Amino acid sequence: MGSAQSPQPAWMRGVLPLCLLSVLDSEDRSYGYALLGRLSDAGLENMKAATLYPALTRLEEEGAVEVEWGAGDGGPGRKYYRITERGRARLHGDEAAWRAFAATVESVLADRAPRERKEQGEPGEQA
Amino acid sequence: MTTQEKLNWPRDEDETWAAAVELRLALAPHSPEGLAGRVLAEAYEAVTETGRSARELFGEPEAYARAAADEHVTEEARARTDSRGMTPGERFTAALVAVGGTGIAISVIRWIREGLWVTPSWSSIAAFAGIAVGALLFCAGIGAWSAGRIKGAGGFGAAAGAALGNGIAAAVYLPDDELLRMPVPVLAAAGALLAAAAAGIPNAVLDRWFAPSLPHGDDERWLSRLESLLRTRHAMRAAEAHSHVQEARLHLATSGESAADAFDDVEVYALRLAEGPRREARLERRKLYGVTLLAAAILVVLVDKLADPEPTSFWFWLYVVTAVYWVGHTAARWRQALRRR
Repeated sequence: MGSAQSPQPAWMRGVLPLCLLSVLDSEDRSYGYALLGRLSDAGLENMKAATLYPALTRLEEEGAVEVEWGAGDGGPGRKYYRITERGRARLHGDEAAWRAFAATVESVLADRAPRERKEQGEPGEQA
Repeated sequence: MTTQEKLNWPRDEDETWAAAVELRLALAPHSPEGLAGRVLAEAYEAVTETGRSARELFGEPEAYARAAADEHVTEEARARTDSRGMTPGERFTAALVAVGGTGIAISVIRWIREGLWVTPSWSSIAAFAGIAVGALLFCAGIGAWSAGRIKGAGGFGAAAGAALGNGIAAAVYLPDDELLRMPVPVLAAAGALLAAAAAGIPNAVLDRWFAPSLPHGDDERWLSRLESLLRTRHAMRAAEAHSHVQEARLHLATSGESAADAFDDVEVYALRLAEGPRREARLERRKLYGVTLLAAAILVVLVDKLADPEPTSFWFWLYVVTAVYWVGHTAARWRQALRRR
């Protein structure tokens, strides 16, 4: 079920800066609505503008991204975000930390698997 | 009975640490009931189980209390308060209580310096009324500013100035003849009555009074409120606040969503935009402006006093020393701020 697989809001907030830096690292520059679309396409459909823009603002204040106003597509100017060198350094550090953390959680979850199989009465376990 | 009395901390330094945490949490605005007890009980358990000191485990008490308060006070509650942790109603009440307290203090000083009786005239009554009405309107302006109502605050400020000016102008033209004799404690009682009346009004009522109505679906009103909140409650510069509003407006134009759907509650959204690493610098800058304004006012009065000095008066020298201290303090703060840049 979709809702059962949706990440907790706190997880989303926690990993959002990492995801934003990663998307920005793959592009020259981008703007809020486009970033929201990229995150949604990647599976973070529940991400809201109310969470995204404050996270971008915080990254800008931390010096991980820089802001520039540029021409929009036939409309008024847009606020674009571009990753900085400090942002790239942070991205690499956070990425390594995230992979280590995810591997740890995965190993904890994997440790539980044999007992589940046992409770489900797998033939191998019963013998 | 305090939480500390229930817990037998293993070291004196732990007890001091716990007292500091408890005090900070007691002063933290809108923290839930019993928060200090829960936080200290957890800390006590960790300290007794590990045998390590509280400072070693949890760091400085101020930082630990702040983190605990942030964790337990909801974002919605924090979003409705200003940099001092007060809602607009609380800010208005605090300003009125301060005015009442100042009235009491001035009355007592007057009593000590010039005796029990005062002899008001039409002129002095007009001046007093102008100052009193001006102070009340100024308090309302503070509440409006705290609520993020720039025009409202400006209106109250202008009205306060007009009341003060009219009072002084009337005082110049009205007769200075003695009308009656009354004891100074009557003035002190009036100040106490004002402070008590202010404290007696429920803050929820005042908050409703200051909060502007925001009809659902009116995106321009929502965006305008966002800009006002960022500039007033969160001390953001006009250009920075405008940049956030412009970005939100573009998002709405592109997505077709309403502001309330895309960004939810405007006060919570303003808080999220403002609570980044630059928050402290913004609040510090505002404090510096306030300190400077007060120093300028003190200097004006000082120049006036020095033009007609009273070297034998204790109060004259007390004012001179206070003024010199405040101007020096302001200069030191500016030096620090410029060095940080």
